[in-house]
Amino acid sequence: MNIATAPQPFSANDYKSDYKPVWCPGCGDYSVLLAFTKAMAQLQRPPEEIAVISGIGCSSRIPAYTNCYGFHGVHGRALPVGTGLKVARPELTVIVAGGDGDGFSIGGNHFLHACRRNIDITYIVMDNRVYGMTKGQPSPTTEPDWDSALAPGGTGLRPFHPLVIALASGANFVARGFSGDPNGCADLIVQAVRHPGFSFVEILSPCVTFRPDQREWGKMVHAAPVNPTDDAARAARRIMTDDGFNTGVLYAGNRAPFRPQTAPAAGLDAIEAEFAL
Amino acid sequence: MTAGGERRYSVQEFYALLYAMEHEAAERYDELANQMETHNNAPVASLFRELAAIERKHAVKLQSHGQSVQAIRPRDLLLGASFELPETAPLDRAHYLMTPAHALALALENEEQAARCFDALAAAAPDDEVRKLAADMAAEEHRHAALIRAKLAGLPEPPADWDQDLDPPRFSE
Ligand SMILES: Cc1ncc(C[n+]2csc(CCOP(=O)(O)OP(=O)(O)O)c2C)c(N)n1
Ligand code: SF4
Repeated sequence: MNIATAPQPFSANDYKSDYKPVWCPGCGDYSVLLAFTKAMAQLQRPPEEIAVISGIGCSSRIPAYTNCYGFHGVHGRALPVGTGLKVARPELTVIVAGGDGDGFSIGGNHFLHACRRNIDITYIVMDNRVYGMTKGQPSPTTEPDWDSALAPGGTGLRPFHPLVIALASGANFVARGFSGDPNGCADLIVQAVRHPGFSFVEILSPCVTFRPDQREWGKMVHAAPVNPTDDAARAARRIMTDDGFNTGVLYAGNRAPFRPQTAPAAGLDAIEAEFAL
Repeated sequence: MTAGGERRYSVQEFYALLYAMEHEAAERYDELANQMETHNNAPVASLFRELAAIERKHAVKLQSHGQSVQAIRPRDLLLGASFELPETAPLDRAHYLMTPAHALALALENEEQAARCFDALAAAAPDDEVRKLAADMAAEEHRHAALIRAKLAGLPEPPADWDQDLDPPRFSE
């Protein structure tokens, strides 16, 4: 460890905007924002070379709280926007972020195809197993027996298994983090960005307002007891049989990312001219 | 407190650790103050802001030793089982209705954890200078803890229903 090096140009605070988040105090999303800024400082990417794309939800507010380019888009459609942006502007670091509702309910189809296309972007899902923004409806990752006013007795439905679905659909990097460990999440995000292709990072991020039970997650998470594998079938078996609280890089594959064969037909000048006011 | 006690720090690394601890603690208290301001909890916001100012003063003092927080990664310097540095208040402990007593109890936990960590470092450091530095820091953290404890004793206990909100964000019918 070299601790005596000169200060680097960008610190974590350089990736934060002046807007103060309106999330509930205690919400895991604060730590994910912190992890994101720490990760970008580790990568030393200038903020103007990063784009943060989201859909709708509490977690999807994250672009506004960063100092990077951002697009707070339409519910469930963050991945197509991020995919299009990366294809058109491959030199940008594109981070897509949002919630489990945004990514796996209304955006579920896009999730499958983003994994399959394997474009070189990073997708961070703040999974709180609930729709926070719309006041506590069950999401695809909600436990079947989670009893709430909006789903008395629970949904009785089998939860969606995002990491396994990502593997089966072709994601090239799969990791799970816990928001209570912002430094650990920052490391995962750094690795995800550096890994070529579609990188999926699920961050368990408690919704303390509608799922106060999730305040206990800190006691349940643990580092995955095995090293990441590049064998998708083995990774899937491990993830299917773990307790859902294993954290770390669980899969790092070798698929070549998809890159368009031809350069975009329109250059920046043409786009600027088209959108000039 | 295991890793901290087992690790062998050079004086320079130790200063880097101290700076990182104070800097992160200050940033975290400021973050919590911002959250409380956003949620109109003014008394707790100003308390967190005060705590941030105290930690920042320490950080500025330590910065003169020429260390840079970017140059070290707290993860490389983890002490004990917690996810973050010992003086950093965990973000998930905040609540929009928390009282000054809750905030001070949290600060007390942070100081006590830091003191324990420095005690362990002082006991294990092979280097005389590091041992002395660690012992000085431990004494300082114990002093801070005592001050907070005294201040906490002067505050009323939070009422049993402190987290009851008559206009809750939660859909309850
Ligand atoms: C097309 C459309 N359908 C529904 C909604 C309502 N809506 C807003 S956010 C949300 C779900 C949010 O849940 P999640 O993505 O898990 O994010 P969280 O708020 O928990 O962070 C829904 C259904 C919407 N905004 N747009
Ligand atoms: S409702 Fe839940 S997800 Fe939304 S900000 Fe509050 S704690 Fe976070």
